[in-house]
Amino acid sequence: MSNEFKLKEVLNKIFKIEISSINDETSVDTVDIWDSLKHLNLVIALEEAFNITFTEEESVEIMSYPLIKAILNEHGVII
Amino acid sequence: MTSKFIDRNLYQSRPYGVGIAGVGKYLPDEIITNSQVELWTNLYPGFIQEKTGINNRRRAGPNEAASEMAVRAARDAISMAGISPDELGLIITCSFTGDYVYPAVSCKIQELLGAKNAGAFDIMANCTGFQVGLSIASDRMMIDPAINYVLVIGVALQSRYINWSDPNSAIYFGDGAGAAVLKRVPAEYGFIAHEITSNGKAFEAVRMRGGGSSFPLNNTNINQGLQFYELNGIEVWKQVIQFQPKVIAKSLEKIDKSTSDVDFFILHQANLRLIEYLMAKMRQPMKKTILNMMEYGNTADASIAIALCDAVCEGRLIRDDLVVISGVGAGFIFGSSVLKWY
Repeated sequence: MSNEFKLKEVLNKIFKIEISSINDETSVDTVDIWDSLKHLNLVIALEEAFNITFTEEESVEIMSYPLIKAILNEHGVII
Repeated sequence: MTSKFIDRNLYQSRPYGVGIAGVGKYLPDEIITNSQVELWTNLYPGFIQEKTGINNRRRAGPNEAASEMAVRAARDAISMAGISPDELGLIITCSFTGDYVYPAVSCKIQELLGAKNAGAFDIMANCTGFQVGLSIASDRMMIDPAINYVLVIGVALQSRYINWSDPNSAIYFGDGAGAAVLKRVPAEYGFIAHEITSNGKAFEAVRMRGGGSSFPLNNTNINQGLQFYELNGIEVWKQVIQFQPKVIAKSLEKIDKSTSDVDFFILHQANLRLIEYLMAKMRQPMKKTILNMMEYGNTADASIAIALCDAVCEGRLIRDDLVVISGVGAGFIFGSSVLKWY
């Protein structure tokens, strides 16, 4: 399974959005149910899926699909 | 990574430690359910439970005073400690909802308890107040051998400052009080590290302006609703997830420990979802913490004190346990204390 698909699966599971509709526009501003509670779940789910640990600052920053990809890249997860 | 500036011998060579001898709590009788709050705030049924894990909260009676609530919790703590009130050398009350703006509610509590030998003052560190109070109390006891027992109280009578139609604040808060008596314990036990940090950039995120010197309680300010809590929920969780794990880690670094060495965490009961997140982020199982916000809501300064009382009364803390007590309060203030349970 590619890292990109794995990431989209996490977003699908947390936000109930179709994998095919996930793109660079996907963010806290475009996903209605992306609230603080769902965001906490997202942080933990990404850490578990990619076996990484976000810093406290990164945990707040990952508010969009492009930002998630960028920060995952910094942890060596190439998407 | 630990700081080279910390002298660990300070913790290892002390003549005695300061631990907890007794705990107590008081919750008012009236239960306010989520259904009531959801009706008043026009939220859909189940919203509050889903977002916060809170089911109920308590509300003080119309004639009940914060000082009376505090005294009820304090009497239980004093009784468990097996001392009389006149053995107390100091009373520290942590509150921002005391009987009056001033004087310190601690002085009224001193009088009501008959603690004639105790100095008494209040501190305000909002929801992390009780942790800050414990740190001041243990430091005072370490420095002044004439103080044998200190009473630390957290009390919150918040319901009179809540706009019950405001969903941003009404869903969280409850009234309550908790207390602990501190005593000397063998040197290897008791409090061994404290850490307090602050982030004034978020000063406006959670506030009650009315009654402050910038916003006196005149008709203009009351008409604007400044006598009620104002809360920016998004900013709160940003502060918590950025800074609470750090302050806990920093307190543990002072004694060369990490979260994996901790046997039990007593955390501010603001929101079940935040505690679930913190425990997951620290890679710690939920069984290593205690939860009571489901029934009491967020009781501010009293929250940690009540959780400590519940943990003791449920037998969750046993001798030699390494315990972290940590909270986050408006300001923002982040605190963490580490103690070896006696």
